[in-house]
Amino acid sequence: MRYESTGLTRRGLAPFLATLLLAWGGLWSACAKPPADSSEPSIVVAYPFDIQGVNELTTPSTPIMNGMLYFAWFLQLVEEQADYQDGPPSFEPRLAESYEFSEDRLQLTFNLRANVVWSDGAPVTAEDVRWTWQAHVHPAVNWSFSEAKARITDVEVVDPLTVIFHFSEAYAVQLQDANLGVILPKHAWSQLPFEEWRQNNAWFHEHMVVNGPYILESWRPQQRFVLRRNERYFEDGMPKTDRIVFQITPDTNSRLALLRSGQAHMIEVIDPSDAAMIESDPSLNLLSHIPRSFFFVAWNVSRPWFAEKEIRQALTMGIDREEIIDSLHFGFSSPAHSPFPSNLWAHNDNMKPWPYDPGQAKEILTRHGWVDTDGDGIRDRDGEPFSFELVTNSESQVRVDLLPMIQEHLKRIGIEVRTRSMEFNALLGPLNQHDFDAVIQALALDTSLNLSYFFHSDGIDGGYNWGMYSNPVVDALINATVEQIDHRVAKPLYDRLQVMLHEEVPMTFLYESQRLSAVSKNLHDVDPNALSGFFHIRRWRLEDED
Amino acid sequence: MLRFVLRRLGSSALLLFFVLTATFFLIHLAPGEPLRLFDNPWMTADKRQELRQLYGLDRPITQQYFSWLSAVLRGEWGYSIALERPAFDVLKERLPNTALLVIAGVTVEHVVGLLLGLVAAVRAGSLIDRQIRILSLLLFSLPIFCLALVAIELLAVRWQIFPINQMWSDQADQLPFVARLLDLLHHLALPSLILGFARCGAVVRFVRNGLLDVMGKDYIRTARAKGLSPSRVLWVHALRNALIPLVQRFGVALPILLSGSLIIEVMFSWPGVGLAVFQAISQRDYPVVLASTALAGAMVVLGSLMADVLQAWLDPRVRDAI
Repeated sequence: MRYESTGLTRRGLAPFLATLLLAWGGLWSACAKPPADSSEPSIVVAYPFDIQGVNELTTPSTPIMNGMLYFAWFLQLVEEQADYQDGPPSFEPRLAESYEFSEDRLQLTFNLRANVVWSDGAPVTAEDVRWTWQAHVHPAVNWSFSEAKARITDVEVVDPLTVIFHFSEAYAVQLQDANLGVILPKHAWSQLPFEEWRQNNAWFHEHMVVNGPYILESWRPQQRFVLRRNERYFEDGMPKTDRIVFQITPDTNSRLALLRSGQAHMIEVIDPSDAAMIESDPSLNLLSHIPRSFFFVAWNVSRPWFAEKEIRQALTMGIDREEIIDSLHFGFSSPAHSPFPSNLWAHNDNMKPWPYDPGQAKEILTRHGWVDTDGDGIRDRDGEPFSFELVTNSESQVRVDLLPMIQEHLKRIGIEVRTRSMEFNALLGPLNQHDFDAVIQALALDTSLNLSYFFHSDGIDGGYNWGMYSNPVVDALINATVEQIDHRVAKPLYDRLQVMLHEEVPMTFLYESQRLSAVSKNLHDVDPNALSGFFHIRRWRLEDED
Repeated sequence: MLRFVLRRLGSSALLLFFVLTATFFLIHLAPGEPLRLFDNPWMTADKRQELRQLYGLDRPITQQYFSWLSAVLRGEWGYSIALERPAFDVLKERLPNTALLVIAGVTVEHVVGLLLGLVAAVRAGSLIDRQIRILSLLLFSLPIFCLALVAIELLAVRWQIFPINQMWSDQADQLPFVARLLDLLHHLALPSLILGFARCGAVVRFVRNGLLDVMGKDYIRTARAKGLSPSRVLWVHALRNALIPLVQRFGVALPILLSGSLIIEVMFSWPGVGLAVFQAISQRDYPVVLASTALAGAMVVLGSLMADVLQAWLDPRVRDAI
């Protein structure tokens, strides 16, 4: 069909096309006109997650909470510091200016500051502290962390500025347990009965008053939430910046685009593969810290392949962790031999990770009867091939990429690995039911350094001891560390425990990875650490680069 | 026509009921549960059981189904477990955003597709026709996120013509109405252009082939013989008939557009239904998943009904059959 035969002349088509293009161009240029934007200087953080509510007691344990953004709004009694290299962390005064234990350590007294008020002008008192504890343990509120308060029997108000926590027993982390959770505004939020809290998430936002450095100026779901200076905040000269915008950006590439184009000042976590790009940009800084997490392959010891510790050692020696670190972490990690990171006081510095030694791994396997009898390249014993499934969660690209690498490493020593990735929510079912062979995962440690969730027999049901590892000596050592109040006495116990875990290999500790943040050079005093990527957010300040 | 519409709505309601029932059982039987959201080292088995009771997840699945069904019949879609808000409210506030994005995307898709298809048809066999056909094939086969990545890098990062993401600028609330509208259009332009261009390849092919097919028909020859002007033959007689398959496609394409908009919503932080549903599925937030299934089902039903009505309006043969 030719142009002429339709009846359209060249003269007819050209104006038609031109009109359409002009209309489009006009619309575009109108739309492309930048709006009158805010001239107010603000720090912009490109952040992947939205907040799900402002009341941490009814909001699921989201990354926001883990990132401790709640601390921008609400004060804790004291503030844990990241100075845990030589001993347990210290705690700086916040709402409480001091604290002291009774001689028998069954009472912990906090003396509150007199000059702290809520953002509506009401004073912050001991009544707020007691009422917050009541909310923590109220069955209708059903706070998912309430177990941490199980050994607190009462919170007594002595006077408006003195409050005493009573404990049923003395133990190592009493201060941490008393301090867990922010102090909430009784005068504002007690208007809603505890029984109605779980059905009225929006109510808390509508009735929000704060005692921290920032108020929540605005919140557009899935767009941004904005922190604005709390004019009634008690610390002189704080916060250093009037306004911080969290721009919700789930897509990694878009977050990087915002930072590179100068439209954002910070990304809390970046992938190691993007580190070179950040380092080569003169306007950006790359910050790193070691998180209190450990990355591992957990072996299900109830499976015939993983019952013997020597075999688990052989598997560990069969995995080339240096290659993994070079390929997937671009050098931003190192092989690990312990669940404790190397910058933690409890870490045993006198140990070395298992080496990559496929020769020795093969020897061990042969010695234990795992030989390739049928010549198919896979070792077998009593007719059972050494062939298992390795799973991980699909949300983590690094872990998904690990699957074929470990598969290839273990193939070299005659072990067949089948790989599978599934979404985390689906994976947790088989893990908790111990219905898996081996899994690649990561877990985080809290201040208590309580390893019972991961390696104690009690952690098999309801904890994170997915591989069902059980050893009475390890159990006893974990109990001893948990009960020990003096960290100097606990240290040799932790050392021995790490030696045991290293020898027993319930998990192969893969690597100690660095967490990377990208920050614009004109944003100062950003100090991401294992406690939070937004640690001391009140000290952040924006200044032009000279 | 009214009877036809009512009959279609009745059968569609039945279909929707079956789809929702199947979704209910599928999502409940899928591995994982919403309470994983609350997992932390202090979460004991007793605490998990208490939460399960609180959300009614400890009851047999059939019992959960019937109580959910009776609530739905009363117009209640339950509470989002992750957001602690009525599930329908979550979707209701996001639906206009998705609708805006999809409508803008469809507009771009059809205007560009129609224009290029028309040019390709009237210049069939020429160099421009070949170029348009290659371009349409390229756009059709290119994954939408690739197109989006290139467009963001060039138009938003390097040349900074459009914003990188979001639906509004910071503090847009304080702008006067017209400035706010411009701000919205400014943010809408890039995602809608990408959505439209990524999908216009098929429209180009439909329009070109439809027009070429129609232009050879007897009634076009008759129209020409009656002395009608060439443009009237093209615009009134040929194009109207060539567009009928496009209208049919439009109804079926609505759910595909919604899924296509999900990727754009994630990449552009567009606060739409797709993003909410994506998160709800991964979090096993049952009430939101079921409410969104109902919503998507209703949109498919309405889309296909709208396509039928439009087709009847365009094609007298269909109208007579109804």
